[in-house]
Amino acid sequence: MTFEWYVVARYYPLLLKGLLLTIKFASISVVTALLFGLLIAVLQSLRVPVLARLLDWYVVFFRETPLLVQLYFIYYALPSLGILLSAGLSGVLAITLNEGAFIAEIIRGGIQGVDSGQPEAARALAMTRLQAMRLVIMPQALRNVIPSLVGQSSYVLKDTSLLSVIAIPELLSQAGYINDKVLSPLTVFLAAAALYVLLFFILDTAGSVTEARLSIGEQKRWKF
Amino acid sequence: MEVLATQVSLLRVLFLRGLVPTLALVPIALALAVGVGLLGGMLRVMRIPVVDRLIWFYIYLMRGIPMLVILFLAYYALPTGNDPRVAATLALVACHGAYMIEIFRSGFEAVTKGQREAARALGMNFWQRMTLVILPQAVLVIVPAAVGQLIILVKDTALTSIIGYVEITRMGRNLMQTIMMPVPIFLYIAIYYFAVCHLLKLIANRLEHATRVRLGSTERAAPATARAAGGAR
Repeated sequence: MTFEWYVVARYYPLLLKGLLLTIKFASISVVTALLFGLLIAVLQSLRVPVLARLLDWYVVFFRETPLLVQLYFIYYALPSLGILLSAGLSGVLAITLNEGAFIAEIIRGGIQGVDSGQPEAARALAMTRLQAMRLVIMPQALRNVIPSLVGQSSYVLKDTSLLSVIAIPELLSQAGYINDKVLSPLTVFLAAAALYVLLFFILDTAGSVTEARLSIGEQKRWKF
Repeated sequence: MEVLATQVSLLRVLFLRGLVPTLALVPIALALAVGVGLLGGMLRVMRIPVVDRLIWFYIYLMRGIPMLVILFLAYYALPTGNDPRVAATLALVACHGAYMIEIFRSGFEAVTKGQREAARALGMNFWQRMTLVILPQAVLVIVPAAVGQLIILVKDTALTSIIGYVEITRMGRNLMQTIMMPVPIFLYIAIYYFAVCHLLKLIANRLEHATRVRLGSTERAAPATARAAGGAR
């Protein structure tokens, strides 16, 4: 079995169509997962009695079960509970709930990493807890976790490949479709893999650049 | 009563014909991935020019390509005799072996320079340094991280259902088509995965704690960037 260029030459428009949909789903899911994870992390950090417990369980449960099972639950089981979602919405919801748990954990780590003198100082300035969170803690916490969050977004990108199992015509679906026609799995799936690596390269590079940029800022502030 | 009996038999079927084949996949894949990690990790710390670059590239590819694509390549493009079990194992090893290499490498590099230099000063060769000095100490760092990786491996086995390996997730989909009860089916499957992964997580936490005690450090592991920022302030 060899790499057959003519397959790529003939079917690249389909692959590009799939790639665009992958980019679209990845972008939407990154935004929703970040917002959701942020919300969870902030709520967890406020330690509201019962809510905090529930959120802890949510994070642990969604981190320690496969995304595919979560996706199946949302896509196949929710309709029988009377919640009918489109395939696209099911996919985004599954990725958001799953990655949101991981992102919440990252952000929570960042919040805990903020020096304890900072919230104390905020309290001394008579700020409310929400003000302290918004004005003092979060800006520092988020700054520290930005590289990890960019890293997590590459997982979101790879997660979107699971959307192929619920018939969303993203990159991997298109590759499967082309393979059904030409029976050239090596070529087709390697082409898809190459496109995923390309997207990963962009995200990974963006991650390194932001990390370098942020550390420059730190040094400058320190020298000042 | 009948409802309860159905639920119990559902749990039983999912365990025997689902969780068991899922777990059957894990030991072989884990052992091979650890083998890849050990070998690759050693090669990486040896810093052989071209080899080092090639291993780095392999890891980069495995980080960039979704597991599902690796599975498809293994199943459809490799001569695995159309056996989803073989393809699943190969794909799991290819992907998690790459992460294991990084775990072993960072474990080796965590052994202080003084130890490595002392071993060299004693006239030990590479093999002796590795087996007598570096590995026994690196294990403390490697094992907790490897158990953490094992959790991800267990979760990734769910994807093997897509190429037709009949494990718990596949069993769930099959059952769903015969008995229309998707809610309990997928809930039970999630609970089974959770039980396995949470057990592993508790073990990983314990091991991590033990390592920290052994290395005499009570410092909480903070993200590298948070530490860097703290140091600069």
